[in-house]
Amino acid sequence: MPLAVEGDGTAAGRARVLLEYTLGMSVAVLIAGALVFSCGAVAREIEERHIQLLAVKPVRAAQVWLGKWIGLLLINALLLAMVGVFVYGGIRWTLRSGRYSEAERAQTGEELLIARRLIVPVAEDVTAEAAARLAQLPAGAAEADPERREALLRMLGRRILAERATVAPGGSKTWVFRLPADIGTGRRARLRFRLAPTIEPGLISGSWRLESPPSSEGVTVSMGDALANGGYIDVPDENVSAPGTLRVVFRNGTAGQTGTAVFDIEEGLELLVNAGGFEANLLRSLFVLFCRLALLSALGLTAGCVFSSPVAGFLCVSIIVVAMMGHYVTVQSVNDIQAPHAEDAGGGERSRLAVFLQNAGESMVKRTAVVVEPVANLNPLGPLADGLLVSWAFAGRALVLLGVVYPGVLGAAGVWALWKRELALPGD
Amino acid sequence: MFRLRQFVTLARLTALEAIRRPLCLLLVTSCLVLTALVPLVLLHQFGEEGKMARDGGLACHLVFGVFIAGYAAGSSLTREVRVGTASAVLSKPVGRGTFFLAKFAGLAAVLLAFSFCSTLATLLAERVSERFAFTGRVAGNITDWQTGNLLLAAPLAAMLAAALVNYFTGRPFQSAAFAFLPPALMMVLAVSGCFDRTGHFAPYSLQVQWRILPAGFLIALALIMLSAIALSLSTRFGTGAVTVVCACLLVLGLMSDYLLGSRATGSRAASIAYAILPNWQHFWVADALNAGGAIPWSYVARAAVYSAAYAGGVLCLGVLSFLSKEVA
Amino acid sequence: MSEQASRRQGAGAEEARPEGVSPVIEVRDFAKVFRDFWRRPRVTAVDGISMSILPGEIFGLLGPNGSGKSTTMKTLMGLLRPTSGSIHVLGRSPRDILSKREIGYMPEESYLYRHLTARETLDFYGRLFGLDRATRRERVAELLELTELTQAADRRVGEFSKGMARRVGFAQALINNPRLIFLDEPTAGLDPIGCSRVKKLLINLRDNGKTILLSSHLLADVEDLCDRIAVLHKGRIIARGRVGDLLKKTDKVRVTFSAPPAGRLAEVVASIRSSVGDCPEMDHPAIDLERFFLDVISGVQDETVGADAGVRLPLFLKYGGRSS
Repeated sequence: MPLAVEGDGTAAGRARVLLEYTLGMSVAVLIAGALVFSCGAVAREIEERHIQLLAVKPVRAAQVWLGKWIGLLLINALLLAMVGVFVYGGIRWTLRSGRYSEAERAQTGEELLIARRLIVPVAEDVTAEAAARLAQLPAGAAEADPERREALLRMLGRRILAERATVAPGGSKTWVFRLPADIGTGRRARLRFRLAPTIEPGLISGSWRLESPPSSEGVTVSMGDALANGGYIDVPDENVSAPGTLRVVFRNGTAGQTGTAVFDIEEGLELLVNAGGFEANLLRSLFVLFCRLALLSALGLTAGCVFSSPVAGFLCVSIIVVAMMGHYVTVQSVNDIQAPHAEDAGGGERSRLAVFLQNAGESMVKRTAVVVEPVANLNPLGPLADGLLVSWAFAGRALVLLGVVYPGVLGAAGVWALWKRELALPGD
Repeated sequence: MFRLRQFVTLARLTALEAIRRPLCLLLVTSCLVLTALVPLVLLHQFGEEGKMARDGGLACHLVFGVFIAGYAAGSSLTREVRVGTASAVLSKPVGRGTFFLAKFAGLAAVLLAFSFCSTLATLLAERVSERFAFTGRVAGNITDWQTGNLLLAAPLAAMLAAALVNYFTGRPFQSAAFAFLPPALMMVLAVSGCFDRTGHFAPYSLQVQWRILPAGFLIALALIMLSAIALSLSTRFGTGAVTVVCACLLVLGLMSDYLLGSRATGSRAASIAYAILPNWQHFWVADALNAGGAIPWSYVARAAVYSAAYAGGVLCLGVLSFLSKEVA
Repeated sequence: MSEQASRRQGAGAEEARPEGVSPVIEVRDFAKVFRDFWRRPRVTAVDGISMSILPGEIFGLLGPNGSGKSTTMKTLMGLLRPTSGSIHVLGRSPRDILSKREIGYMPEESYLYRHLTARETLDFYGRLFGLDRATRRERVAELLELTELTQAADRRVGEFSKGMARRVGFAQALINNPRLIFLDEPTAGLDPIGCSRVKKLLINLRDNGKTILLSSHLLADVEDLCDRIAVLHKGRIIARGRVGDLLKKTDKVRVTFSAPPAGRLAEVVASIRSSVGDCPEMDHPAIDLERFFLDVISGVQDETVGADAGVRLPLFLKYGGRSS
């Protein structure tokens, strides 16, 4: 991948290719490999009847399952270590002196090859305003069923946030950051702002005022020509000390209508505080990926205790696809609203089966979300590629959930299936 | 005549063995269900629903077909050599070439049957997809839920029928279910002609886009080429390796124009690789159906010639490899 | 009805067990029915058999294909569950881990890992019994020597011939010094010399207190080895008992003596006829083909090959040897 794709030509771009694409694709291959090996680990033994010699030895089913799982973990660990060494070596080689300027390498180090803690501003409360606007809507919309009302309120809330994220020339916007107690002092911090892509990217200028209440003293940073999508603002050390707050006010100093700044609704302004080095971050990320592979190995192993190896593989892939689709639908459904179907309006009723299928689908997604979301949210690749901290707490959660709890449940099921199964059936 | 009978017997056995594997049925059923679900799930896509249903169906056809071809071809020959049934057959007056080519014929038959089912499902999925209608009776976006439900029910009905056959006659479930899929889908197609898209009785009209047929046929040709590659590889490698290689060949073949085509004029190695690597873009022409376009049958004929020549060449290599392979 | 026929007629019934002896294997009304997907009975492999196998004997299970021998053996080892009836192996359920500590199993086919060497295979199975390193090493070396695989110890099992693979299978069945050994076709695929070695070995094991349950189609081997047998047909025991008792024709007597000088034979015949009233049948006794083959081979080879050589059991397999 790094040989074929140059990225955007910058050092950071190339490093990002290695982190996002090379590491991502390598992990995808490792996942496929983990599934193939784990599905066949027990299933092939049963098919080829090695298990018959094993089953007459004083070995419990739990020992067989656990032994296979640990063996798979060792292979996963070795392969993941090789991938980690390759990616890290690739990054260091990419950034070797002579290829890029000192400034570029320094910038890459500051923005990408680092572990920064992401602190988001205090969420703006738009509930009251959204309710007020809902009340102003024509009758009928407000009397909709509770789910529909919820969705309308969410949509109105997002609209209000979008309006507030727009700063016309001469206007201002304020964000407040609550600094956590464990942030320490003297850590380097930067504010990252993102502007929503506009049709005609203009040149925005203005100033940022940083204050740490209750002190009214602050610093004003003047912003020249902004990049089309955003940029960074250094935060003086004295403004970053815990516990405390950081108040940031942006004043749009651009003249003319084309100078309207539209901040991204979710990621308009973020505070990034340096929290550690890239190497440790990479190690923690690899550890979380290892936990993910452990979970997938447990899934394949358990499926192989019940089904033949190709059927077990198919089942595991199906489970992963359904889980990913469920995660996608869950993420989308937070913001989406069900549009009225034309047939409801005038073309006749939808068939009962169609309604049943839709309700069954939604119910299934909701139920699987309880199990899937914790796993889907424990993905370190995004933060790693963005120079964000993959914390010890994150790694610990991954270990508990992906390395102990979920594999434990799967293991119990697999052991039970193996214990129950007759291993010498004709045709096995 | 004797050789032809041998050939047909071996091909029939290969096809039967392939469709009796549980994974084959699972892959075919998943393909059909996903194709059926696409138009029922993807709604309000700014008029692109038909295209998405069509492209989704054809994509499922290709992707699942790759796995069926790789798995069936890989496991068929490899397994037979490993367990010894190949040596048992070859100890009879059966030539190795006949044995190998009969295997290919059996697999090609299974892939053609799968392609037929998948193309039918795509035709029906496109009919089901949401479309804006403005008639005396309805005004708005209409999804043909009735046909959609029947399409989803078709694999289920085939399996129910197979379960009954298995219960009463003891015949294997998997092969019976596979055999029932084409008639089930054809029945859905036939019945759908009795209704309009709102589910009301109407003068008989199938209302499907027949121009999808050449696209489905092209994919079938691609799968047959791939099965020839898979079978030839399986004379030397195991099932897993063959499936992985087929998947890689698919990806590389789809990208061959980008990866090698642009470099072919300047580099001899690139031009040779470009010629050897199968160019799946010749067979993936779903975009040609956009905006009412059609795929001429003359193009299909040329693609068939390319497919036949490529598969023939690969099979020759496979036969040569198999002639020197120790099967005992 | 001949005495033999009447013996067979009652031979399906279980014999009386000697007092004070606990059987190693106790089977009561065991039945095994294989069902299809719809839970309908498809095949009744075993239809209610009862038997006891006593310690220190070699017990043979005979029967045509499909008679239920393999099903019975596999259920005794816990690989299948009985549909009905009760089974106790060494006083416990066959699926009990503790009973598996003391059994060994040699399957008919080689179910060994193809990519391990013979030494690694035996070491692996030795580890499963919790044998320490030194014991494992010692036993592996002894078993490789016993099965004449020392030269091939570091070759992969996948490269072995069928006979060699079976010898590895036999060795792994003994690694834990089992009290009870299950053998499925132990002499199948072996040449006559190998076959003779195995038979001597099994007899040695029996003499050292092991109990052996074997299943075989090779009736001559069963006759040489087994103390008692059971004959299965369509899932039922149709004959059982001590081999000698079952095969003996008690209504006739055979007397063997050195060939008399010419002319005296007629006197002997006349004497017998006058005593018992029967005209005796006479012929020259013949050795079996196996014996002949072994004698011929040992005659042309410098050293005694296993056929005549005593098969020396490793120490750990003898009475008083260390157990696992």
